[in-house]
Amino acid sequence: MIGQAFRAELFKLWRNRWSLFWAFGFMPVFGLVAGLIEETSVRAYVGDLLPYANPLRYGYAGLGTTQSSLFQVFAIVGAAILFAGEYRWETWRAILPRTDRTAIMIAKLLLFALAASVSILASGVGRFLVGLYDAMLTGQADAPSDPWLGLLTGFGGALLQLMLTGALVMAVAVLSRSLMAAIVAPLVILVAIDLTAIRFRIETGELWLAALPNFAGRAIHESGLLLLGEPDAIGVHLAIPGAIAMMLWTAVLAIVAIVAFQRQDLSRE
Amino acid sequence: MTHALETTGLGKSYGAVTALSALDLSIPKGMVYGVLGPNGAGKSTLLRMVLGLVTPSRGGFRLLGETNINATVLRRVGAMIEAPSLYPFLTARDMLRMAARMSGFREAGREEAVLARVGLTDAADRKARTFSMGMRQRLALGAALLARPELLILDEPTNGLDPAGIQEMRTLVRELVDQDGVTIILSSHLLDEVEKVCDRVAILNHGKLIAEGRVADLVSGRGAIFIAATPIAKALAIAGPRARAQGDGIRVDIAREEAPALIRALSAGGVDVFEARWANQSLEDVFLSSTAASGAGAS
Repeated sequence: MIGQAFRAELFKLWRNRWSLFWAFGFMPVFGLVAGLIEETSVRAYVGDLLPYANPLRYGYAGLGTTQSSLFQVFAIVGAAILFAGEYRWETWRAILPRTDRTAIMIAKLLLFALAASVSILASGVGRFLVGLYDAMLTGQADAPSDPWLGLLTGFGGALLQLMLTGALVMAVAVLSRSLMAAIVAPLVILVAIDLTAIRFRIETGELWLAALPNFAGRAIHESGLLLLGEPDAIGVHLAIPGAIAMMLWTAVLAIVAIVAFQRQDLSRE
Repeated sequence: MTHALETTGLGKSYGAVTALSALDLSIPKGMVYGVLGPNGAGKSTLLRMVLGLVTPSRGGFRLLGETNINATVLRRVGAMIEAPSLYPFLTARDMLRMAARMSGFREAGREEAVLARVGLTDAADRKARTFSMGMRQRLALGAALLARPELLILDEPTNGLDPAGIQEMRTLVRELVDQDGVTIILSSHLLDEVEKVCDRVAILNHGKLIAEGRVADLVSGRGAIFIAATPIAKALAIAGPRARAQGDGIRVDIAREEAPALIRALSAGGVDVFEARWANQSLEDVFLSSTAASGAGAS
């Protein structure tokens, strides 16, 4: 039943192209275009900063851009469309008699994971193309040996951070039954976490920082950099606790959403 | 006999507000069953509980013979509850495709057949947000019919339809029952439509069942007599509390066999009778008198 609900949700999201682009497609495209403009401008006004380019390192940086607050904002909008859309369009009564409540929520979460994964990969590929462009301009290219574990680590960190954001939106959407609340409340929480993070530095290495998603995400990203041969990576020891913390946060929020939805009376959506 | 729906003491409360009291209702298979009642009577609450959208506060029900109500049972039911529930960005065809995927239903050509049946073939590739209310209603009905349900629950299915559309809907409802063997539970405010299409009805008021039975039984033998007479005050006094002034005479709610005695009593009492005309009670009369009596009882 989860598979059937997933197919239906995928079909629905695919047909909602405008929302799909703005939620999951805009940032990768923006990253690509901005990167090309940046490289061209730097080349024109500054010249070659480095005598060679490293497209894979660019691609890795692209994976990391999805952890930025700006990217998270678009992910919040995408998650809100997925999880709060049924309340907005009053469509729960059309689909719930066809499927199970837990199945539909899991299907939506899996679909968010798929959309987020594609968006992260697209960001990485976009920046990789920028790196190739840079290599074309400089005429030299370099690549780390055996980069796959590093790239996978970077991808995993970005996905974990986006999944936590998605699960937060999922819980707020169910509890508030409102598309607007599902966007605004996570945005406020995101800003609050960012403001909190300003007061601390990952270099201190305090373990509790791993509980904050932006530090946890940064630590995983840094550990990926280490695997790519970057010796100056910082906060690497927070990567595993950070990954565990983000998985726990995601699981708790998703369970809260599913349990609340199971008990929710839909006398009106 | 297996019933499409059997409720036993089914009720729902929201805090101190009782939306539906302990309802005992049996809806046989193979008929159009009307659920009537004024706004706030508990009709939508009943239908939402049956569809698993609302959890009962008390009692229980058996749906298509099953007490364990899960998606497997509910997939045998098609439903259109309150306003049509559609995704604005999906076309009519895509709405049906999405519904089919969600239901795990596959049958080649079924979407096209359903679109034709609800008269939306020409609008199949238009997005739902461009639809009129009547077209939205037709599409929601199509989605309900898609997976060949055994039971169809229709809440105000003629809302937004023009007279021709209402006629088509009536024909479609009867065809589904008489030819396809579908059971239909229909809630509507259009009582003349209900009278024309339903085999049996339940009337709810203030969350309670106040009348139930075959439409023919509910309206038969009951009615009113209009008597053009003068003086009206004297006629009203003789006819008693069931009489009320109407135009140049009185209208009295009595059984048909009581009419001759009433006319004789009026003549004997010195009232000049010019005309007496019998009017059968309609379902609307039954509904209004039942809900009025129930409302008086409740207050």
